[in-house]
Amino acid sequence: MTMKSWVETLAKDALAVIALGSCAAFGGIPAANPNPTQCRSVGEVLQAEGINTPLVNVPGCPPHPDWFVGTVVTILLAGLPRPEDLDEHRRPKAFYGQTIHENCPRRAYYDENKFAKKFGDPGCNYELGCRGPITHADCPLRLWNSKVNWCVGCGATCIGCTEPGFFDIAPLYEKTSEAALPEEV
Amino acid sequence: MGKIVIDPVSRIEGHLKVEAVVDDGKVKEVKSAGMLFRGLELIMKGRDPRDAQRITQRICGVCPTSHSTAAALNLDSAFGIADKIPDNGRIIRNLILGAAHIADHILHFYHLVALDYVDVAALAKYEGNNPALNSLKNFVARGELGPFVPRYEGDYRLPGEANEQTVAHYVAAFDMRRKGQEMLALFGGKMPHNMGVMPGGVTSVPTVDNITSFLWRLKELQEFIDNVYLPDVLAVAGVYSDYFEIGRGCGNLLAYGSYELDGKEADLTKRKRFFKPGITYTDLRFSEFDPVRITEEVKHSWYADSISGRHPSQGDVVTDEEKKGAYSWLKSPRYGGTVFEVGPLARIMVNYVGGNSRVKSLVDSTLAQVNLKPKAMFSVMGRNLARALETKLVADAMVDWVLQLKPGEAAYTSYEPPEESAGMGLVGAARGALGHWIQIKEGKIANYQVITPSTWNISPRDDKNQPGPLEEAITGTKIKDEANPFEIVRIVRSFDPCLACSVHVLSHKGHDLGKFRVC
Repeated sequence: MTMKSWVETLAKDALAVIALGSCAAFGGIPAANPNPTQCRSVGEVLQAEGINTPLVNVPGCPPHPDWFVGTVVTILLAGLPRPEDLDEHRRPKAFYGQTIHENCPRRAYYDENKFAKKFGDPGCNYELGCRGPITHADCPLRLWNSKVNWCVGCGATCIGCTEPGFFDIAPLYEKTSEAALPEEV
Repeated sequence: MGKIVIDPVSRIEGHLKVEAVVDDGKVKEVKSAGMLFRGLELIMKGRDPRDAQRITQRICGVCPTSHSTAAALNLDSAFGIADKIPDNGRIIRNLILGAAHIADHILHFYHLVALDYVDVAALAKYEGNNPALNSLKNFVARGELGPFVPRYEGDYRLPGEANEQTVAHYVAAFDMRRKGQEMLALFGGKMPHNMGVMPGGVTSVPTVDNITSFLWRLKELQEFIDNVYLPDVLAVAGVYSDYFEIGRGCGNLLAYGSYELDGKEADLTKRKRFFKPGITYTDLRFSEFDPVRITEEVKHSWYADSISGRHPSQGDVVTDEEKKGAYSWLKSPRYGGTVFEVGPLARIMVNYVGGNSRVKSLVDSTLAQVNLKPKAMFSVMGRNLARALETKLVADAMVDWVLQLKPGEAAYTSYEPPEESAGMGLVGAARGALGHWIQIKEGKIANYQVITPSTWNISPRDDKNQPGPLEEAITGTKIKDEANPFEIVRIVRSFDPCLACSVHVLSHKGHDLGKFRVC
């Protein structure tokens, strides 16, 4: 049985489908250019096959366990998400409602134009390619691995792993163009 | 004559199929096959070389850390900065890799392998007051056997109390793995897919706080390794001592070496490493390792014959799904045309015969406890034991390494990526020798090739029809009960196969997999 037929068989009669991880939600790395195996997201397969089961995307590479458990528990307790509970990419706003940049502990550096010139420097990592301003997730508040750290916490950039096509947006260490930034950065 | 097909083999990472032809109670012929293709090497082409470190980690969520290390070493060498990594950067990379390895080996023994030897169902009769065991007992009583079935029946030999204790440790081991991953995240940001390891060093800086937070967790893990993990492996080895004679394999062992002890030597094969690179055989002689002699063959893989026999620096991915005689998406890596097994067993034995006194004394003292000679290590139980010994060696060494960090000093060096260059990154991943090779042209990736440990171990027959290490290890094995082929799955899991790693290229057509027996 191919994975595509598994998705079709199981999704048809399901209450809802949760596409967990950036591959399931958006195609992820296997679907990155040139997409050698013609990989598609779960949403694309459902649409192509005319399956109308409600879909919730929980992307991330990897997705945070809390995002998945939180999504399942919310559905069990409150029922299927209302349209206003999901963003344009069908992500629960409870976890993906704000950008990394809005809650980043290095935000003050950005506001004061203090930018790190190399890894390990104090300062905002925007010029090193950080995608915090265009990436939706609550990592700076939730943290990872029993809350010990997160990507920017270890001095690295956010690589935008919860966004569609994150490996094809641009090279990861290229400064995000100012044109791509949201209005209120 | 009958055929045993196990597909997919569970309690491993990825999708592995094993087909064994059994004649008169003995395995006559084996085919091991990787059943998934993603094409990651094709996705790498034309990208910024620095992105290789982030993309290759995504080959696998179990051992992304090893890929991040191999990619960073590969890019260091291509960028001409392999001898310029600051000591803090070199040491933090060792700590990130070491934390991943000890968490991974604990995972392998307790959560993947132990269930072949430990009878969780026996807990139905448990009458003690261990909360973890009572919770599992209730779990079993409710019929929620999820992680423990399917399984084979008839050969669980641990006596009652030892069995219960090992099951209790199965639960405790989850907590230990979590702590190991926290250690990794302290310097690497998160696990899976750490963000800290970069060409040039690491992004994190050592602080009194992250050193202390790392060290107390490491001390807890050391206690678990010394007082629980190693004794449990030895207890299982004692009761199942026949498995020191089962699954010997090809008898040729290859290790790339790992954990950098010298930041000033650019050449990975000459650099002082905690585990040295090399080769050994069942006769226990040591030979030097030369990466030039590695090739990948594809006669029995779904790839075009025109790419067979190449060195990975010249490697390519050209699929041929209709190829006659092919049965796997894995290629067959060979060294000097010969079949080699990689993994913790190879690292331990290469260092045992290669003059590493720390390794020699630990192996000798451990084998003395079970009354065995070093040759017994070439076996199912030897592989499991080597993994435990390696866990101890790495955990103990990390205590020294973390205290060598110097807060306030650099852990990263800047560089200018070159327009034209080539690189190689070799590291000992949890499952064995991992190599990355890159060619850079006009500032972009012209070619990127990865050979993972499971590609070595689970490889199909090569151009000379020599079976791969796992196939060789299963061939000739006596099967006591064909309906419950414990011997086969115990051999398979002793290699700790990771198939997501090995085939980085999903067949959209699917293949006829024959009879299904999920175990």
